[in-house]
Amino acid sequence: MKSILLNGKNLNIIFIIVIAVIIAISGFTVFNFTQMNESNMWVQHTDSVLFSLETTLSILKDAETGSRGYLLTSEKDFLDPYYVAISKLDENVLAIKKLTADNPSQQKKVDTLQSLSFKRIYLINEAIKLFDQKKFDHATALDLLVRGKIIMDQIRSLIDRMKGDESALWGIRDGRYKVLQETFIITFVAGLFISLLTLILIILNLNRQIKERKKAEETASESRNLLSVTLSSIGDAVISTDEKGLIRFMNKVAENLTEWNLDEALGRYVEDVFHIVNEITHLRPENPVKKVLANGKIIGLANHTLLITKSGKEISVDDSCAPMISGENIIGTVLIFRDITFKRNSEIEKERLSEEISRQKLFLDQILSATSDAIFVQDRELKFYYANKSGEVLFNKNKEDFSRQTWTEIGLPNEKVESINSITEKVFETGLPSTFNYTDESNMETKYFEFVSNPVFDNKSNVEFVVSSVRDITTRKLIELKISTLNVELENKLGEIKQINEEMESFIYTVSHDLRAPIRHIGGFVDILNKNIYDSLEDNNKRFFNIIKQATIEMGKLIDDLLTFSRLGRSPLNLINVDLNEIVAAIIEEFKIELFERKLKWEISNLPIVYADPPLLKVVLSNLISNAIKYTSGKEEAVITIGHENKDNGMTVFYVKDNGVGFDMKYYNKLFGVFQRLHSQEEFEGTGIGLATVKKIIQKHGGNVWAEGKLNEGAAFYFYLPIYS
Amino acid sequence: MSSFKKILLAEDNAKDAELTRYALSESNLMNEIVHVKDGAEALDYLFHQGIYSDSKDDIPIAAFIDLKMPKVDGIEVLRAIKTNDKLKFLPVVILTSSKEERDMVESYRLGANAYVVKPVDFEKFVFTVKQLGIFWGLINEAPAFLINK
Repeated sequence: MKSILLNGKNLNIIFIIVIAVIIAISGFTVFNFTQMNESNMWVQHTDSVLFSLETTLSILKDAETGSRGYLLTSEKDFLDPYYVAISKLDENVLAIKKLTADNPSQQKKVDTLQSLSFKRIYLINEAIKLFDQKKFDHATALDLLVRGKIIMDQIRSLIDRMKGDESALWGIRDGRYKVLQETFIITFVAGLFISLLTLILIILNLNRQIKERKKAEETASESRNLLSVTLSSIGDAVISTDEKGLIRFMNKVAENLTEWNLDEALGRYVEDVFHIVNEITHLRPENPVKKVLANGKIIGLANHTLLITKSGKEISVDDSCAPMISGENIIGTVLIFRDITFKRNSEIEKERLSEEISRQKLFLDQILSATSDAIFVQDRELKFYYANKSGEVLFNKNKEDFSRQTWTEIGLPNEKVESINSITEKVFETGLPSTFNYTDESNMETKYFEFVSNPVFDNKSNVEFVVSSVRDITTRKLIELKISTLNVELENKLGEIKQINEEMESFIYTVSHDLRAPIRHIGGFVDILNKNIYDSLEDNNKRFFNIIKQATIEMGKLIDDLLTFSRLGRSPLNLINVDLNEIVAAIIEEFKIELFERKLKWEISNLPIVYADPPLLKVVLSNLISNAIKYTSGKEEAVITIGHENKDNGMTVFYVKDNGVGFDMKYYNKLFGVFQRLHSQEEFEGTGIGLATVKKIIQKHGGNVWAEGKLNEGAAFYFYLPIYS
Repeated sequence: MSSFKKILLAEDNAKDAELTRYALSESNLMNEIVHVKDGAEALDYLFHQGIYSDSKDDIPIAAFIDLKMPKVDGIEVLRAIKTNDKLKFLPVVILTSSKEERDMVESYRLGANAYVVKPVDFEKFVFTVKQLGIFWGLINEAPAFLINK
């Protein structure tokens, strides 16, 4: 059943059949109904005939009765029915004639009835006339009565027969009507039933169809939904159009990218929503949808396309468009596109990087070409990868000449190539730089080159290239040769100087040694002589002896000081940590006997440990202290202060101050000079070497010494040693 | 008196030698002073050769040697003494005018027993030589084989 119903053709046949049945039934019913009406009409017709017959009879009776009354009473009022009867009779008889027009036998009878009726009326009318003329007598009355009675009886009989005929006809007609009525009911009910049944079937069928359609719609909606969800879930933007290029659908991504809502976009031309331009020219390319609609082939978008969004933003997109084909017709297109801003940006970045790399390469080449050194880069096959301008010039080649060439091909002599290649290979092996000197004697002028080969590592620390810089060191070499010649000369000179120095030392040594002896002899023998003859001498002569003795002592001291001073220049420093306190104490101890009768106040603060040569430092302090003692000798209350100050710059300055005779600052420049004295020998004895020695020792330590003084107020000597601990 | 051993004085300068003798005499030493005028003579004396070939057993109790001497200098004499098995026990005092460090170091390195710089001041000179004489002539004890032979 279901399969039949579902089949459209069968359904149509069924419908035609059902409609035919209903039409047939309806037709039959209508026909039946007409028949029935007609039949009914005939029944009613018969009734009318019967009624008219009765009426005719009654009219005649009324006319008879009225006339009689008049005749009896002469009251004209009784004639009213008679007149009414005369006026109605014709009409009535005509009506019967009309009603029975279809029945010839009845027509004959009506004619008879009409003539009889007229006869009767005539008789009545005769009687009235006679009565009015007063000619109405008994005999006439009787005659008229009898004749009237006969006609009346004939009329009665005729009407009875006519009634009999009509009744018979009625019976027939009524029977027929009843049959028709039954048939009508039967056919009507049957038609109704069939219609009802058909209706039920149709309703059931429709219901089923509705259900099925609903189900189908649900399925369709579900799959539409699924499609929609699928399309919406696609990361790419999707727009589909109809065959005219009007938008039928767009997914969420498409909405977001174009900034158009589906509702707004629906029914618009795709190019309004998918507004694209060329990235560079900003011109609209041919719309892909149109193209696809035109030729029915799948197309991809040209590169560098920008999508202009609804708000005017520009987005790099990549798209493709495909036709939707149903049968042989293109029913629309599917446009798929995606935001490739990131990809595009990375492409742009890639392009930029590539440009940057070439720029860097050029930059590097220019930089490397700015040096006068020839620079070559070789790969593992010892083929050139790069050569700078100086490299090209050096071999009188072009950059292309170096491309993938080797030293042999560049034109280096074979024996040189071997050496250089072995060096380069070594750098590849060890990853360590190497140097090679190359002498070119092929020209008039000998040229010297220095090859420095360095490894170039890849990011896995493998030596990928070796970069060799070749420097023309001819000038340097010549200078070096000159320098070495000069050095030899210098060494010779130095040797001479050293020899002179040694001779000088030897001279000083000899002098000191040789001078000491005579002085000692003079002093010695004078002393012996003095002892032997002293008592016999006059006072004056005794004084001379003393003068000689004193002179020899001074001379001896002078020689000793001079020797010490000269020895300073020759002996190396022996630096150790020295406690200054101990040195100062030792010096003062040495002066103890000398100071026996002096009134002298020492103010000595605690001194630090210094890093110095102890004997030399002792000479320094000994000189300074002995000076202080010497130059305060005239003072009643002599004070000598020894101490140190820590300066802000971290320097420690030591000082020896006294309140002796001091000195005039205007002679300061002579203070530390050799043999320079600011006092006469008579005032203060001395050799004039002490402070010179002090200065030499301090300077030898890398320090400095200076002094402040004021005549008759005292002197202060300061020194610092750069290294102390 | 023969028990007092001799003191060898090697000094090229006659004046110095006389002053030294004078100073030693001041200390009243009983020891005989043998004065040789240079290193060569000193070696002759010590090794009983040349003019001293007769004095077979004559070994001094101490030797005062000047450094700077003609022919053979003091350092050479010192070396000869200190490298000789028998003589190396002889106390050697270097008596010199040199205050040079290198002389001093060299002398000690070769085995000198003392190094004395002659003071220029005669008083100090006399005092110093007297001390030397007393110390080496009287106080210091020498090994028996040096004294008894």
